[in-house]
Amino acid sequence: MKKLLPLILCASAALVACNRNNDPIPDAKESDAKYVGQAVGNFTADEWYPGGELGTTDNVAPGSYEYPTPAVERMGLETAFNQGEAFFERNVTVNQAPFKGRGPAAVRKSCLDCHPGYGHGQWKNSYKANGSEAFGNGYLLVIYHQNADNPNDGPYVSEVTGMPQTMAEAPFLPPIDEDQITISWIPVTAMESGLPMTFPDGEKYALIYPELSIPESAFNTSPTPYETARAQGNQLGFRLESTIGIPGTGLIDAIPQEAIKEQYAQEARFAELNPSFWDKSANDFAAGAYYHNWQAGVNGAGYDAEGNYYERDAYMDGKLLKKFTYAMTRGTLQDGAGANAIWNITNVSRPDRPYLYTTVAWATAMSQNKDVIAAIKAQGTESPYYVDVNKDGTVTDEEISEAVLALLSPKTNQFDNPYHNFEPEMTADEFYSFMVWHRGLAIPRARNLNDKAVQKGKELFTQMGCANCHRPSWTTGDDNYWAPALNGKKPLPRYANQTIWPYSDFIQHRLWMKNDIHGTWCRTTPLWGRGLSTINTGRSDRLHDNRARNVVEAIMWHGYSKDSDAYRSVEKFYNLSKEERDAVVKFIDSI
Amino acid sequence: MKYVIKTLAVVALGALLASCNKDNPTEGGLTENQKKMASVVENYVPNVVYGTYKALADETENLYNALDAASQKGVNALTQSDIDAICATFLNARKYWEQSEAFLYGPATTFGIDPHIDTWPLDVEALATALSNADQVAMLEGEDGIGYAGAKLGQELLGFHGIEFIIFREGKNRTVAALQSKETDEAFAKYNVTGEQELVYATAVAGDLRDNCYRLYASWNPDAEKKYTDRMEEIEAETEINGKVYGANILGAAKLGSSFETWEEVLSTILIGGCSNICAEVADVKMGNAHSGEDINYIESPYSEKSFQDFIDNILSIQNTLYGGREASAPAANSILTLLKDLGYADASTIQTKMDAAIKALKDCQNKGAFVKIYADSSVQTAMDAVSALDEELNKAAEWIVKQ
Repeated sequence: MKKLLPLILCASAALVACNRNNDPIPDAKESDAKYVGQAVGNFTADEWYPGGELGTTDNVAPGSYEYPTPAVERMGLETAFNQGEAFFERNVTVNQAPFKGRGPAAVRKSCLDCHPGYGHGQWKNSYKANGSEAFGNGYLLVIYHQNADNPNDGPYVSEVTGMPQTMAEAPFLPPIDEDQITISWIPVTAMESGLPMTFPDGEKYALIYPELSIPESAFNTSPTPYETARAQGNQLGFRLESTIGIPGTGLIDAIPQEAIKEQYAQEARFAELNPSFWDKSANDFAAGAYYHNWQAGVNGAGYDAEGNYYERDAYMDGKLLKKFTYAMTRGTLQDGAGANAIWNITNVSRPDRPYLYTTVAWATAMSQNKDVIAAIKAQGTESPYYVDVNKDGTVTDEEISEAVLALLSPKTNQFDNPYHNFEPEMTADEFYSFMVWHRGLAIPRARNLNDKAVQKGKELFTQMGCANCHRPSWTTGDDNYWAPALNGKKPLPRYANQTIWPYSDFIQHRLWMKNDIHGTWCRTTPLWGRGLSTINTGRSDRLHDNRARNVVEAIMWHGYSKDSDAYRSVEKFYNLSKEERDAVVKFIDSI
Repeated sequence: MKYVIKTLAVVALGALLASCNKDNPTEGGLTENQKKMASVVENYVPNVVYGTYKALADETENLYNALDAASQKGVNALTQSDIDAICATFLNARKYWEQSEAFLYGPATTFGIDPHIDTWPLDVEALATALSNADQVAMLEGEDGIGYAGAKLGQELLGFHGIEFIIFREGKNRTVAALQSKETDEAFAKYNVTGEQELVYATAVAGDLRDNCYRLYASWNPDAEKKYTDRMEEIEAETEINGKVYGANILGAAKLGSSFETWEEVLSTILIGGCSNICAEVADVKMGNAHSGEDINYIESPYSEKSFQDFIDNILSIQNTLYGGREASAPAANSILTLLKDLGYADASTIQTKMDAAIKALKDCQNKGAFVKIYADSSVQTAMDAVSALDEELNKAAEWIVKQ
C-alpha cells in the first residue's frame, strides 16, 4: 500500500491539469467516486482518507462503520477481528456460551443496543435497557450530588455505579427500576445568549433539552442516594449521557501526546481550559491530565507495542495523557471505554477483572431483602449464594444474607473468596479478539469533497473559528501503544505515521447549555464519519444527550450562552445566508 | 473479512481517465449512464425487495396462524402432520428471510429488526427460566402476548431461533411425542416445562416475528396493502425514516428529499451495503467464527441443522439482486448484471462465475452434513474462500460502476 500512494499523487496532479482543459465544474449531482484521492478545490488529496492510509475504509455505504482498517488485513488480524466483532454484536446471556456471564446486575446486555450500527446512541423519550425496546437507546444515567454553585456539577452518588444499572438477574432486583424513570423534553423558548430562534432570513430552528427524573422508590439500594443527599443537605442531580460512535477510535489512540500538549498550550493563550488538565502558570499539564490505570497491582500492568513490560503506571513514567470520553477519564483505548464496557456494562468478568461492577449499597439491599433470601433458599445448592458459612451442615437465612452481601460486593474477588469461587466469564483470548476488533475499526472515507458547496462549507467552517476546537488534522506518531498484560504481547492494529482528520482538539471546553453535561467540561467530539450516521444507524442525533436532532441544532446549542467557548463562532453562523449555512452542514456531513 | 479496498492507485488512475472523458455529466439532470442505473434500481426495488418482503410477511403470518391454531387445539390433540406442516412453513419463511439478507440496509438495520428477529445463539437457559415462570407464560398467553413477547423477552429469546428450538431438534422435526412430554434439553433439567408452555411461547414469538416482517414490507413499499399498514398503526410501529418509507427514498434518488444524492450512491448501497456485507457475514462470521474458533455455539440454525441452506439462500439473495428478479434463472434485461455488461465491465461474467462457485461450494458442504457437525471440515474453508472471492468481485464491480 505504501508504494501506491505516490501514484495517487501523480494521478491527482495529472488530473487537475486535465480538468483545466475540459470542464472543471462538476455537476452538483455528480458522484464523488471519480474524484476520490485527488486534490479538489480547497481539499488536499489525503483529506479523502480521514484515517490515513492505514485507517480508512473506502466503503461509504450502509454498514461502513463496521469495516476493518487496512492495518487489520496487513497485520493478518482478520480472524481475531471477526471474533471480536461477535462480542460486540451479540447479546450477552447469563450462561449461554460463548457470550455469557451477564449480571448479577448490568447496564445493558448488548453493545449494539447502545451503539446502533456502531454509531452514536439515538434520541429517545424513555430510558430502556431491558427487553427489546433497548435497541438504539444509548443513554447512560448520571446521578450526582449537585454543587450549590452549579447544578450541572457535583460528585457522583456512591449508592449506584457510575454508570447506573437497571438490569439484574433473578432473584436480585435491579439497583434502579427503570420503569420509574422519566425523560421529559423541554423546548427552549429563548436562547440565554439572546440569539433569536429565527435566522435573519426567516428560517426557524428549535431546540429541546431533557429533564431526567428518578424517584426514590426506584432505588433498590440501602441507603438510597436520596437518603444520603438528605443527610448531607444537598440535592440530587440527574443527567443523560449518550454513547458516541466507535469507528476510528484506534487512530485517536495513536496521536502523540506531545502534539496534544502543543494544542493545549496554543489554546490556553485564548481560552480558559480545565484547570484539572492544564496548569496555565506552568504552561504544562496539571496532575489531573494523567491517566492512572484503574486496575490495581498486576492487573494494571501491560506491554507496549514493542513488547516491553510495564508495571502499573510505569508506562510513559505514569504520565499518559487522558484523551477519551466526554469527561476525559481514559488515557488509552486498551483501558478505555470499550475495554471497560465489555466488563462493566454487562458485568462479565475476565482474568484481569475479578471484581464486580456493583456497589455496597446494592449488595446490602439485596442481602436484606427477604424475597431474595427466600428465592435462594428455594434454589438450594444450585445457587452460588446458598453457602454454609460456618460449615455446620445447615444453611440459615443469615448465612445466605452474608454470602449475598459478600458476593455482590465490588470488593470481593469473584475468583478467590471464602463463599463461592466463580470462573472468569470471558477468556483472555476472547478479550484480545475484542481489542483487535475495537482498535481495528476504520473510519470511512470522506464524501463529496468535489462538491463546491462542501468546499465553501470548509472555508466558512475555518473562517468562523470552528476549526479552532474541531481541529481538522493530526499526525500519528510511532503508535507504541499500551495494552493490558492480559493480551500478552499479541499485536493490535497499529497506525504509525498517519495523517488523520478527526476534527477534534481532544481538549475539554464549556458550552454552558441548559441542563448541561455533568461536569460542564466536555471533550470536543470528533466530527469524522458522522455524516454517515443516518445510513448506518437510522438517525443522526448529536451532542452528549442527543438533544440536537440535526447539525444545525447542534451548532446553535454551541451558542446557547454567551459564555460558551464557541459563542462567537455560532454568532457568525447565525448571520450566514441559508445557502452558506447549508454549505457548512454539508461540509460537516461530508468529512 | 470485509473487503478492504486495496487499489487506491487504480482508483486514482481510473478517475484520471474518467475525468478526461468527454462523457461527463451534463449540467443538471442525469447522464445517460445514471438513467440506466435508475432504471435497474426501479426494477430491483419492487421485484426483488418488495417481492421478497411480501413473501416473508405472508409466510410468517402463516407460521403464526399455524402455531396459534396448534396452541388452540392443545398439545395433546396435535398430530405429527400438524407439526410437520408448521416446520415446513417455518423453513419457507426462513428461506425468504435469508433471501432478504442482501438488503439489510434501510429498515432492517435502522429499526433493529435484523437483531430482533434473527439473533443467535438462543439463550436456552433463560428460556427454561422464562417457561418455568407461570406468570410469564400467562403474559405470553394473554390478550397482548405478542406485544409482551416483543417488548419484554429480549432479542436472545425472540425471532426465528426461539421458534426453531421448539419445533426442531437435531435436524429433524420435533416429534409429537416429544412435544407432549416434559422438555428434555439439559437446560430444562431442573424445571417441569412441557410442550404446552413451549407452544404458548412459540406462538407469541411467531406473532412478534410476523409483525416485524410486516414492518419490513410496510417500511419499504409505499403502496403496501392496507392489511400491513393497519397492523403497523395498531401496534404503533414507525415505518418511515426521515419522513419517507425506504422504497420511496431510494426510488427518489437524485431528487430533493431523498437521502441518496446520486444513483451511483444507490448502486454502491446495493452492491456494498447490501451484497458485499452479507458475503462478509456469511464467510467471516456465520461460517468463519465457528470454523476458526471451532465453537459450535457460534452456529446459526443449530436445531433444524439448516445452516448451509441459510448460507445458500444468502447467496441467492445476492443473485436475485444482481438478476433483478426472484428465483430467476438468468439476469433480467433491466438488471445490475446486465447493466455491468452493457456498460462494458470486463469482469461481469466473473461475478457470475464466482457466484456459481460460492453456491456450489456451499452445496458441497451441505452434501457432507450439517454445519453443526462438520464446521471444522476443510470444505467449510473452501466455501468461505469461495464466498470471499465473490465478495471481492462485488467490490470491484461497485468501484467500477460508480465511476461510469
